[in-house]
Amino acid sequence: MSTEINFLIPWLVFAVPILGALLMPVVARAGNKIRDYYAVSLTLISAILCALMLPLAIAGETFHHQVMWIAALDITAGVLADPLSILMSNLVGWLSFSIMIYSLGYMKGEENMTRYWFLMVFFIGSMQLIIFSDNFLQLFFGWEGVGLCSYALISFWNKDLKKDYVGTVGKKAWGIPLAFSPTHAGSKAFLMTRVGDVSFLIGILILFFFSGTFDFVKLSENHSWAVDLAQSGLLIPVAVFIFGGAIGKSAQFPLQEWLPDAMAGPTSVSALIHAATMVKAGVFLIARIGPIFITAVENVATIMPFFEFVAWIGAITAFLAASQAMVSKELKKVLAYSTISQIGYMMLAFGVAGMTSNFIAGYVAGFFHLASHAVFKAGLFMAAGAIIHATHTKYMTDMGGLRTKMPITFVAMTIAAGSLAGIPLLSGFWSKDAILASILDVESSMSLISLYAIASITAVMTAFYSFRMIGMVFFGKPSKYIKKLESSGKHIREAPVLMYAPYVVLAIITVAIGLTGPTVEGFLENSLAHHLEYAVHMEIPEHVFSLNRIAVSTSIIAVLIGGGFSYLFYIGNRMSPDQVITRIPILSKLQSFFENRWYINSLYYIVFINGSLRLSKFIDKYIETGILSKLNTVVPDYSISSSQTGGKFDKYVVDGTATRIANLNLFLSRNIRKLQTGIAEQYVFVFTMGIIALIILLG
Amino acid sequence: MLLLQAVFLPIILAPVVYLVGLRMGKNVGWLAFLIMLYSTGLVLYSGMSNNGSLFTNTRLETYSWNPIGNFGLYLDGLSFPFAAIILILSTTLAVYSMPYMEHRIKEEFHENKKKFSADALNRKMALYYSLYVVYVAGMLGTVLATNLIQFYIFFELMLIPSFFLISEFGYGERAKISMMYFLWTHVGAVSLLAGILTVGYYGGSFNFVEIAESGLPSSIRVWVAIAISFGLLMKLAAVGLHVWLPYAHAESPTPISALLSPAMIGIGAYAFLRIFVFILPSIYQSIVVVITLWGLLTMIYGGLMAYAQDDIKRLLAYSSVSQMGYIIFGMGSLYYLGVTGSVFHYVSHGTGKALLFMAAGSIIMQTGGVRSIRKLGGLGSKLPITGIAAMIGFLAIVGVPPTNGFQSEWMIFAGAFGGALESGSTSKLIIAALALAVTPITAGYALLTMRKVFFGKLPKEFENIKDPSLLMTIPLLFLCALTILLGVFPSVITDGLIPLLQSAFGGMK
Amino acid sequence: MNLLVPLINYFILSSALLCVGIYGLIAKRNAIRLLFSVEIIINAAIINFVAFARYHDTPLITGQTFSLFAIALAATEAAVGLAIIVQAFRLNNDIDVLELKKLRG
Repeated sequence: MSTEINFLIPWLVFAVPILGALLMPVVARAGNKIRDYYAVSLTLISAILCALMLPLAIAGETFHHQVMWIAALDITAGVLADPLSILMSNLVGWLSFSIMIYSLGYMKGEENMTRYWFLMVFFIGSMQLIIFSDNFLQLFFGWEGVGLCSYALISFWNKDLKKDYVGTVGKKAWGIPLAFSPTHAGSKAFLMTRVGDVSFLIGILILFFFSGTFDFVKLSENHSWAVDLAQSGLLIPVAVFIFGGAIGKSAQFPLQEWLPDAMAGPTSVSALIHAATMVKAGVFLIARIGPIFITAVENVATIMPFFEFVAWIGAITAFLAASQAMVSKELKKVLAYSTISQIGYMMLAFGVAGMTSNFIAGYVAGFFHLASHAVFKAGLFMAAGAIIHATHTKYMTDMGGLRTKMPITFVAMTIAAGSLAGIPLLSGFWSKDAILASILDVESSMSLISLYAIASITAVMTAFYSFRMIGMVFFGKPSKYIKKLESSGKHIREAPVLMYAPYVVLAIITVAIGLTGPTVEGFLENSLAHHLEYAVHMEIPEHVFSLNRIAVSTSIIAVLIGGGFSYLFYIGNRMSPDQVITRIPILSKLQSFFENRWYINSLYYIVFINGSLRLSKFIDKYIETGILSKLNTVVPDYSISSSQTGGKFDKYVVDGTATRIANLNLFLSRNIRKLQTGIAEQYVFVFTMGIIALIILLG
Repeated sequence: MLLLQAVFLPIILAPVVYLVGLRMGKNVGWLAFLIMLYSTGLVLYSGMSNNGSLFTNTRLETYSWNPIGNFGLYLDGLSFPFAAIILILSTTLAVYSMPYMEHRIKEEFHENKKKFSADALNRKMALYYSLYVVYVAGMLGTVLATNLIQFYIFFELMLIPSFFLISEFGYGERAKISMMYFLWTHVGAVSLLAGILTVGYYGGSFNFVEIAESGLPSSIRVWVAIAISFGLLMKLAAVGLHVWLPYAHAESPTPISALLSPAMIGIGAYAFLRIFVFILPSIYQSIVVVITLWGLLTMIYGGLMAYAQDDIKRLLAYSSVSQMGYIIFGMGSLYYLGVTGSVFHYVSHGTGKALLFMAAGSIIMQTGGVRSIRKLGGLGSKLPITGIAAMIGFLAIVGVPPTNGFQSEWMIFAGAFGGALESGSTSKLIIAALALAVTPITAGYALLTMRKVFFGKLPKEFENIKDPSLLMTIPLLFLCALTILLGVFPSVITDGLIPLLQSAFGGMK
Repeated sequence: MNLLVPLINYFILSSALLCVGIYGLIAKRNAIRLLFSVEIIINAAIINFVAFARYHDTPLITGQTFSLFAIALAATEAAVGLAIIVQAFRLNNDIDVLELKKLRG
């Protein structure tokens, strides 16, 4: 097989969608159908271009191309097509394509579709930009690009009608409402990921100072930066800060609160962005930089705290989110919490990879779970969208008994849910098993036991909520809501082909991967081993695939316990969950605690949002208007009053003097005038007197 | 002669503009536009070079001007971004002003119940545009000056037309506000003058290149630093000295706000860099800590204040205060990349804030004068182009790629970190991290405003509004494109700037 | 040649005539009487002329010549004065000088 590819292909993979999206308003003028097909075909072109690079991945080779970007700083832009990015981009590209097809059916009849298509296509381009970037700066462009599109797509129904709200309007936790309008949810997503991005920036900027570059390849070639960083004690902080970006983007603890509320957006958006692609960007980032960091240090022990941190964040998040999924009443929210939880598993896997001597095991496990989760979660979301469309409700409590009415969806969704739960011979089983197995390789026994325990308990919860979801939606008796719907003439029908075809295909793929699990895992291991060897010069021992007995048995037991309970409650309807809860009071306390999202959301709002607003109002009231404005008006007031005094002075004194002189003149003249009597006699008299006076004087 | 023409042609032609305006009314804006375009062309041409990168040429024109020294106009990597942005914004806004000022003048006549006549409109438009071109020429002259006194003269020269523009065409209590604006900035300018005169006296000359810093006795160095900083920071509206800005920028006519806020106050930054980095390096080194902290405080203060505002123009004014804080912060980094970031931030804040003010102006015009955010909402569906422009403007201010705001922001913070790590000071490192950590404040008020104004429910009275005419939308779109272009290709600015700064800072170590 | 009467006598005479004339000018209201007074003053001046000319060291004929001039001029001036008074009477129907004060300032 030829492994030469045209140098343009990686560039075009993201350039075509981004530039094509910009033309969307122009194409839209040609008609709605043409615009729709144009958007979908852009995605198809991008996906095909990704597929063209598969031979490279299979052979384990890499392609790298750069151009000068910011000349003065010696910063280049480039594409790095190695097995990691090629596999990821194919996953993203084809899943995106299938979701675009799904959108054609799901968003039928919606307004503002030009904006929708623009944002979806631009998003896909930005995601591919993240995947193929060869340096942090360029990656950040794609990173923010997906964040922007996510914000805009979550807020898609931006008229903020009550029916578009996520959460139950009226419910509050610690005084903070738990329901959010689409635009609020979008802003929240953007802000939270921004906090993560700030952390990311801090990390890469410090790294830039020490290494002089953002380029991944250069970072893995010359390791002097790691030595300097370790010496100044900044190595772990930098790594953690960069991971902070991943925490934000992938909705891990403590920045996980935006994802459940992102369900305010259309379901196709949730499928694409919040299940399959954007949230995986953080994981991808760790997959990129994890190897770089671990090979850059002389002594693995210096960097191990970072990987421990990653693993623990993953574990805590997985547990946290799964507990909230168990009690959620909204269908999409269950899936959202599930996504957060499963990504936690992936982070756990990558973290564990750095804690063992067998890096590749955790690495492959994480990536495998990333891929299999993307497939079945996208399928789950799309099916959920179809159900919500058909029943016009987002609450599972309003559903029930739908398996007869929507059989195809029922089968596809059950398969996907089963994969999520970890039922053997489905893809999720193999990937989850791989993760559990890699945990068992951890050197420190304390970490091993605690991480393994958390992972296992979470597996139980995962199985529980997966089947609870299936049970509440498809089994049991139809709810009152459905009965009302049916009686008013709106019958619930199976979804149209354009909508169910994508998730049926994904269900089939899930089964296929499940049946060939070991082979797939072996293939991944092969490619990724080559990638690691080439990219970071890591020594990978030959590995023969084997099933770890402990891991397998844990998985199966977890499925049995969790699945067993949910079968009892929801599918077989032997016991009523509400009765159990009322009988055991601690369970009801737990339930409300989970329902209120562990009060984390409320805490953030009270401290940050209300806090900032109050602080700003306080400053405004006391400092700005109180002190400074008063100060501000003193000067002009003073100058105005002094100029008024000057005016008065001018008017009365200066003008007055002139007037008074004139008046004096007048007075004098009036009086002197009186001398001119016109009587000659008097003139003569005076004249004579004058002469006499003169004579006397002179004499 | 090119730069001389660029600066003086507008001044000389101002009376012509006035006379033509008396006849032509609002269309004299095209004449002003052509004059601005010509000056822009001259400056861009002077900056163009033919060695691969786009704008690295330098150009110096000097004329003897005894006894003060030389009258010179110098275009280099530092002054080019400033001059280019001033001119590009002025050119764009000359077109934008035409429909807006016509609307504003009519509105003013209605308010005062004066009788409206075409002659009166023409007179006012003529006055506006003649003041406008002089104002732009004044700004351009400050950044191209090579002599301290010349700089001061142009500094004051740009104050006077803006004073008249605010008092004639502004909103609210414009007489008092324009007086306040004039007094505050003039006090600052006088302080600057005191500093300049001292420097010139002891340094031996007023020409930039001839001033010998060693001539300044150490006892007065502190005072010189304080005097000059006070004057320039007043212009930059650093916190504490910022009080005039919200009033002036909110109540001046919107195209002038779009020039005042991005273009004019940033000139304080230019002067700061030119004087301190190039002429008085040792004084600069002693004040950077104060500058950094002051910048950080301004960033936080401005951002927090923006939250509490209801008037859309006041909010943008406080946002400008906060953004100037970023620039001040970058200047205090003592690292070439941080200063590059400050200059670049001038550029990106320039385009971004101009976009925002123009969008605000469009909203004010189309809704019939509504400026209160509480009364607005859901405008995105009716004013799509305005909404897009506002979004891109906000993104530039928040610092999101692919806008130029991101490039400037990462450079500022890289510089801050670089400077901190180079000096090995942990406290500086923490300050840098803290500064980066408060940037979400900017994102907060940006998103909040976008949401409140453009999304949500549309009030009934705005059912029938639509985007303004082409004369206003095309400038908006042009600036959007420029913002994104500079965001993806920052070399245009950095190629000329970074080598210059690297050598300046290299000499300092 | 020693004359019989000292000069001073003539001087006293002319002074007395002068005073009479001035008194007439000041105190009389009738315009004709003012004219008489002016004539008297002129006569006083003429007497002065003649007396001083005669009592000179070498008796001069100048005084007497001049007195002939003076008589002629006095006549002229009286004629003019009378003419003015006649015109004034025609206009104002009155020759009381105290009433003729239209030229007051």
